Order: sequence, then C-alpha cells, then structure tokens
Amino acid sequence: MTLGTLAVTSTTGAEAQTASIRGFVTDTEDGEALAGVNVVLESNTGILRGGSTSSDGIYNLTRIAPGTYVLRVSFVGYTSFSDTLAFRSGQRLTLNIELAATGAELEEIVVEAETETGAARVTAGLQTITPKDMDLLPTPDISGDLASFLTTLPGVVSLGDRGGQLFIRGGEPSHNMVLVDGMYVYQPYHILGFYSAFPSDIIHQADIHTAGYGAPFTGRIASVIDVKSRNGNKHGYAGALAVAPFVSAAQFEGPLIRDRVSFMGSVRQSLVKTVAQQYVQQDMPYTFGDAFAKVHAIISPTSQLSVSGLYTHDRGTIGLESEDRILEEVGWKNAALGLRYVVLPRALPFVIEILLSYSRLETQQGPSDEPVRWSKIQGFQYAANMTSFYERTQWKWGLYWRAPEITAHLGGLFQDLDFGFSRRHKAGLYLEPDFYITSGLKARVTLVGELFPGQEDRGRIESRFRLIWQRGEHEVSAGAGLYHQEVFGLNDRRDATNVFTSWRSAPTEKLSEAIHALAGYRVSPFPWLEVSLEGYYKKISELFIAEWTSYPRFTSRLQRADGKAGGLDLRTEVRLPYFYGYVNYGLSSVRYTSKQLSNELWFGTERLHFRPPHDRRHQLNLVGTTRLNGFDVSARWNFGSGRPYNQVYGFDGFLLLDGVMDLFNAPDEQRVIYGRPFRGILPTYHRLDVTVEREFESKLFTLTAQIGAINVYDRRNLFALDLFTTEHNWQLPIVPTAGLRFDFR
Amino acid sequence: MMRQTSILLCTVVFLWNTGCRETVDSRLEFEAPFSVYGIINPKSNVHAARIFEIKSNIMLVHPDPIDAVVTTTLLDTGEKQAWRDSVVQLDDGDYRHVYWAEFLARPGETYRLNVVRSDGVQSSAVTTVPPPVELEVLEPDVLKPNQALMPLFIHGAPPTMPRIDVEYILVGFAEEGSVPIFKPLLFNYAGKPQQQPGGYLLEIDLREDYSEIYRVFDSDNDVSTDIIDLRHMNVTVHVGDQNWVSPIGVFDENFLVEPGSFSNVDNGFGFFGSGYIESVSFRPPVELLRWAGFYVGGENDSGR
Repeated sequence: MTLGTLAVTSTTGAEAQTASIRGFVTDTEDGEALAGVNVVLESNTGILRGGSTSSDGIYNLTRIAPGTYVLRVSFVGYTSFSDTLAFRSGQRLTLNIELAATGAELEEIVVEAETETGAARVTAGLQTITPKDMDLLPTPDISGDLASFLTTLPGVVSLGDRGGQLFIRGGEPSHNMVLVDGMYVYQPYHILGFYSAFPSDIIHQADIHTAGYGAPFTGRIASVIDVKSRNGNKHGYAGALAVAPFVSAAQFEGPLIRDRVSFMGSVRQSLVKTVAQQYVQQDMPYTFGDAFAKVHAIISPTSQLSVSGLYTHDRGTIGLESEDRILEEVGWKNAALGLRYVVLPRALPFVIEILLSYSRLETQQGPSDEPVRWSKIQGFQYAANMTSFYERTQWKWGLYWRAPEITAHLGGLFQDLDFGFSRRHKAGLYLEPDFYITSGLKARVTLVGELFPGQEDRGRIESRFRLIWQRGEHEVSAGAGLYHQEVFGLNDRRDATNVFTSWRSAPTEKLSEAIHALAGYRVSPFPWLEVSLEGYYKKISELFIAEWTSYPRFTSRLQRADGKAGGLDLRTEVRLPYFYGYVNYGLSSVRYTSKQLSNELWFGTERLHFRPPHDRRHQLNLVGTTRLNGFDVSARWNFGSGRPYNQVYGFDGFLLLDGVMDLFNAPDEQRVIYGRPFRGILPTYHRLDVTVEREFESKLFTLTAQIGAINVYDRRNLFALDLFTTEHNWQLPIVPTAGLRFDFR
Repeated sequence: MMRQTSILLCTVVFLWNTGCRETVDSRLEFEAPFSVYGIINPKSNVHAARIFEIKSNIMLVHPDPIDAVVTTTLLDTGEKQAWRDSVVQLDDGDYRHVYWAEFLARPGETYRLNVVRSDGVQSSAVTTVPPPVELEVLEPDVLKPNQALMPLFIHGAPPTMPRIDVEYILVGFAEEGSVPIFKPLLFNYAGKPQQQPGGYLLEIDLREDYSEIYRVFDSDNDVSTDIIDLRHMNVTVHVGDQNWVSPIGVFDENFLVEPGSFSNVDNGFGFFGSGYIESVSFRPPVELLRWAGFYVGGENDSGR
C-alpha cells in the first residue's frame, strides 16, 4: 500500500510566483524514514526536477512554475508512488508519502543495481551503510555491529581484536568524530574489537566520512562516523532476543501512540568472561555492554522530535601478567542524552534541524572503586542546521556551540600532571552551498567561522570543497579542506596493551590542524559490479603525542609532531542474485615527525621521523555471502601487513646523579633502553571468519540459528609483544561460535 | 607488453615486501653488560657504585649475586682495589646491588672503574678526584636599594658544581602567638656562581626567594601566613669532577633518562664520577631579612 497525506499552505513575497512541495517519505510497515528515495516531478514535456530524500526521509522541490505535474516517488524494493498535482502560484504543498516494500528482495541477498549504499559506493570520502551491510559479516554474535564493518574498510586500522581503538586514514582514535543522532560518543568501541556501541539493530544508516567532510562536523581532523538510529515501529510491536557466547542482546520497539509516537530500546551484555572464556584457550577478562533508547514523535505533518540516550561500559585487562608485572585494569563509560527536532516551517522555505545533547566519557585505570588515574570529558552541544532548496542550489547553514570540559586525575606514575581541569568553549557559524553546475556536475563549498571565547587563539575561518561529476556509470569526485581539533586523547603508543586514554586540551596557543585532499573514481561497468578507487593525502600539523621516554610507563608530557598520511583505496563490489561479495584493498603510508626538544640530545636530530604504530601498509578484506540450500553462508578473510613497533636493546635502572648522594639508599627507576622509535615491524596478520545461518519463519516470529568460527585456520596473530617480558600476546585463536536469535513482531 | 607486465609485477612485489614480515625480532643486538652509578668521595673512606645488569627483559632485581667483578685502579700507581657486593632493599621492597670499597681517595688522583662479566665483557669509566674548596660567608651590602643579596665565596677551583642547595629553615605564623608552622624550603642555585679570581662568588637572592616562599606558605596552609621568620640557612655545594656536567645545562630527569644522554661509562650506561659536599650554615643580617620581606619582629639591626 502506498499513501500520500497532503497539506497545503501559501507563501508570499519572492516565493509567491512559484510553488513548492516537500514532505517525509516513510516505510508503510513500521513508519521508518526512507533515505535515498527518488522523488521526481514530471511535466508534459518530461522531467522537471528531481532529488532524493535525506536520512530523515525529507524531500523538498522548490521554484515550481504553476501548472499540473506528475509526482513520481520510487525506491528499490518498494512499490512506486505517483500522483498528479496541480500547483498554483505561491502554493507550498506538504505531501508525506508512505511506501510499501514489495518483498522482492526477500528471496535474494542483494539484487539492486540502483543503491545508495554498498561496499564500493564511496563518493568523495563518504560511504553510507545500512544494517544490511553489517549483518552480512561473520561475527561471533548473531547480530551485526558497526565495528565489524568498519574494520573491513581500507584505510581503517585496528591494533588487533581488542583494545577498542580504530585509526582512520592516519589519524589517532580521538581524531575521529563519532555521533549518534547528533550526540558525541567519545569512545564508541568496546574492549573486544568486534563490538561498538552500535549494534545493527538500532541503526538506520551510518555515514562514514574518511576525509573531506563538511561544516557540521568541524572539530575533528581524521574522520566522522555519523550514525542515525532507527525511530522504532509506529504501527506495531516488535523485538528480538539473541543469545551467543560472546554477547547476548535484547531489543524492543513499538508505538507509544499509534502512528505518532514510537520507542526503541536495545540492551547488550557481554558473556565473554563467563561463557566464551570457558572454551577458548585464552584468558578473556573483558566485561562490556551497552544500552540505547529512543523515543520519536511526529509532532505535526511537518515536524518531528526525538530523544535518544546511550550508555556503554567496558572493563578489562589487556596484556599478560607475569611474576614481576602486575597489570592494571582499564575501563571506560560513555553516557549521552540528546534531543533532535526536525521541522519544515510553514512560513519558511527550509528544513530546520535543532540538536541539543550532553555527552560524557569517563576512562580509568586501576581498580574500579579506587582508580589510580582517571579522566573525564563531558559537555553540552547545541546546533541549529538549516537547509534550503533552490532550482540549482541547495544551501546549508547553521550555527553551533560546544563546551567540552576535561578533568583528569593522573596520579601514580605520571610525570608532570597530577590533576587538571580545562574547558574549551567554542561557537561556530557555517555556510555550505551545493551548486548543481551542469547536468551531473555538483560542487559544494564550505565556509566555517569559529570563535573560542577566553582563549589565546580567538577564532579561525576554514574552507572546504567537494566536486562530484557523474555521467552514466562513471563518477569522479574530489575534495579538499582544512580542519582543526581542540581536544584529544593521549595514549602510550609504545605499548599496544596500554589502552588507557587520558583526554586533554590542546595547549592554548596551537590547535591540531589537518589539510585533506582526495580524488576518486567509481564505475559500474555492469549492473552487478561496482569498482571504486580513491586516493587521499592528509597533512597534519600540531599533532600532540605522548613524549618519548625511557621510563617504562605512560607519560602525560606532550611533544609536538607533524604527520603525513597518504594512500589508495580500491573497492570492488559484486552483486549477483545468489552471491554478494566485495574486495577492499588499502595501500597506505603514515609518517610522523616529532619535534621534541630532547630529540637533538637523544637521537642527534631536531626532527625525528618515524612510522607510528598504526601505519599498516597493506590491508585486504574479502567478504562473500551466498545462500546454499536455505542456509546463508558468510565468510570474511582479512589480511594486514605488519605494523611498526618499538625494538629494545635491553633493560636497566636509572638513577639521576645530580649531585653527591648516598648510593645505598637513593631511589631509582627501572628503564627501557629503546632503539629508535618504531623501527621494528610486527608479523603480518590474517584471519578467516565463517558463519552459517538458517532462518525459520512463521507469521509472528523468525528464529535464526547461527554456527560459525572465528579464525577458522587458527592463525597465530600477534596482538602485542610485551617488550618487558618478551611474551607474545596473541589475538583470538580459532573460536567456534553458535547463536540463536528470536525476532517477533 | 611483457615489459609493462614485468614492471607492474615488480612494483607489486616491492610494495608487498615493504610491509610484510613473518618474524618478530624485538631485541636489537647489544653487547654492553652493565649500567653503573657510582661516586668516589674524597671526604669519605667508603665509596659506592650501584650496578645494574643490562637484561633482555624487565624483571625485579633479585638478591642473588650478579655476574660482575668490580675493581678500581688508581691510574697514577696501578694500585688495584676490589669492590664488594652488598644487596640493599629499597623502601619499595625492591633489591639493588651496591658495590663498595674502603680506601682513601685524594684530590687529583685518577681512578678507572671496571665492571667485568665472567665472559670478559666489561663496562668501565674513569674519574679524577676534584680538588678541595672552602666556603666563606661574606658581609652583604645592606645599603644597596631594592636588593637583598647574601654573598658566599667558594674558594678553590672546583671542576664542576653539579648541585648547590640553598635551604631556608623557616617558621610561619598566621598571626603573632598562633601555632607555628615549621617548613624547610630548598632552592637550587646550580649554575649561579660567578667565577672570580680565587674561586666563585655565589649571591643568594633573598628577596626573589622570599616571594616563592610566601607563595608556598600561602598555598600550603588554610590560613594565610603573614609572618615568616627565617631561622637560619644551610648552603650545600656539591663539587664534582670535570665530567659531571649535564649536556642540557640542568639535571632534568625527563631528558637525562634516555640512555647515553648523560654518561661517561664505556660499553655501558650510567655515570661514574668523583665528588664531595661542602656546606655552611648561617643567618643573614636582620636588615637584609627586612629588605627581603622576612619577619624580624623586635630584633634590632645588631641582633645577628
């Protein structure tokens, strides 16, 4: 069934000579917004104007000359909608449309040629993915997760299957902005690398910007992961329960007021320590979990309001304990609460989005009741984003205010900072027009102005641009921009097992900056094949990293560094009726140049060039899924060349002889005699994961059973080398998995 | 076509080889056996050196004997002295090996320390005992306006003075008659003495130090300490041999922790030097204390 709900208002002034139409496009079954739907207005002479819906399902066609038109709305997998509409001068129509799924794709994995998402669909650094993309991947859990998908992307490097740290195109983990419904999530990944705060069940879509992103994402220099959650079913109750040895989950949604207000909630809790560890020949002292809840309301035909909340917790010990080395637990907790209001004002020709959110991250090291050190970043964010549509341009503009507060208590072995507090207010204003220059050629120009009240660097202006040219099966895109960042997380990168992150403000006189440049080409030579190639280059300056030291401990002293990252991402996606798969290959190079004062003394050079530990030169991901005799079989082979690590000459003690002293009693320190930073290369990494699923359907529920194995051929992949004991810290061995999922509706 | 294919193949093989390793070699070749931190003190009969074996993994130091024979040789005469191991337990419970020897070292003598492993590999260092110095407290010029400089003369020719501690022994009161707060505060005057004929002149800036002392008293106590009385001062001068010089001018552990950055040990790390301490105690004249800002109460100018 396809429905349209029509409302009519009138305009005055400059708009009065023409008419416009706008509205929301949703799914008939559950009321979810449909993004990427084609909306076309045809006159007797052919297509007049077209566009696609935003992630909120909003379309907006303006400057329509009075007359009679046919509105056609189509989306792959859904029945099309068409209606004949007569526009009068000055008329502003609001038409909300519901599309019904055809069910055609149920028997096939993915058959669409026209799709806005997919493994190879990357345009100027932006890739949009949906839960379907995540669910295809084999994981130890029966439901998909954003983290598993991200690690298949070229240019995304994880240090291993634990630790919760992702490096995107040369940046540090804290250089990535992660948002859900506009709320900041500072540490979105769980301690076990398959999982993030975002199970596929809660996701509507996720935009992954690996470079060249726009104005609303100002404040991070590496990447943006912008997650939009589902609104929940407005027409009926539905939910799921899943049990697996790693994680168990429950999800529930339904109408609070039928067709108007819906809720959606999801809870996951790890069972790794209690279940999986029993049969995996490795200690897995990890506990983690997450909860997400959202209420979404249709206030009127032209406005919607949602309130979302997120909570995550992680705790565990990474590394190997020995007689002489006691490891400390690390833990982190995220909490976020946000409000989002989207309105198509009756009197104004644009879409307004208002965001208000509060986010907090607490990280700690040591016992949970009495941590040795901890840091907390928290703050409110406000933003108002406006989008207006004209015949050949689309203008986005807006303003925002952010005020992160950082508190750190770095007792114990930290060298120069015991307790600290800082607050970095900033207010921003941006303008971002999209120009449709000629048929198939689109350009976006971004201008951002920011003010930092009360700080030495009082403000800045940044500009960015994107260019997309599309003709037939070919698409060429390019982008460039200037970015900055005021707060960052500090880790001891000498030791991969030390994942404690202390957040800090950049020293006031300088902010971290990055210049992005990228160019890409995408082609679909056949309806079933898509290939994309994207090259990128990033120059990062005023990158603050932990100072190099021979003390075998973390330091909060900063050293300035510059960075350069470049690479080439090749993606090939195959969509056949009974097979779907993709190959992602990433070639990359990351170089840091540190400017620590002691470099001259220590290394005989003012500037020390080195490859940081996330400089993985080659990455290859092969993902395939097919249906055999009613069973869905998925496999993923992941290969990564070795990452740099520190080599050591040995260990001794250090006593600062700054005067004549009693050598029988003077305190000293243990010391690591390092070689030059990150000159060693760890062995290559590869792993095959396979799962087999079978669905049993009835009218009211679906039961899904899954069996599989992680690291099928039991490859011994090194997570970290304990330099202090020379012990090898291995990643997961072969791990058989099994799970059951019960979906009801 | 064959040529292009070959080039392409070579490029792929080259790129692949730049990133792919199958083995992990975390230990770099290193022959040095020991790190040594030792001092020959001409003002003491006992000389000591803390010895660390350079190990392939980090372990707590155990009390078992280490594989080291430690000797010093007086290079002027060839006389050799064997050092003995003693295991000490530090406050944190960890053990250390401190080798020691009993002999009298005289100014101008040059010693070589050898720490030899059973396979013959050794670390060594040479030091020359510095000449003696004498400290003299000079009369300050109390008439100099806006200054409170307390002069001290170091007679002699010390090769280095790695450390000069100026200690203020202080008593603070929130008000007259309140509970006294005793506090010693230490100031580092290394690098401050000016060379003059016959020695070095050290001028202690009481006025500048007072502002720091006031800040410390003010921040450490709940009640503002308005009365700060200087009871006396101790000046300790560490005299070292010619090697006892920080490459960065100051002894900052965050810089000098890097192995080799401050070391005179051949085939090893650490520092082996010779040196001694000279100290003197005094109380500056009342008028100088008043100029500096210290409380002098009812004391008159001749009350020193």
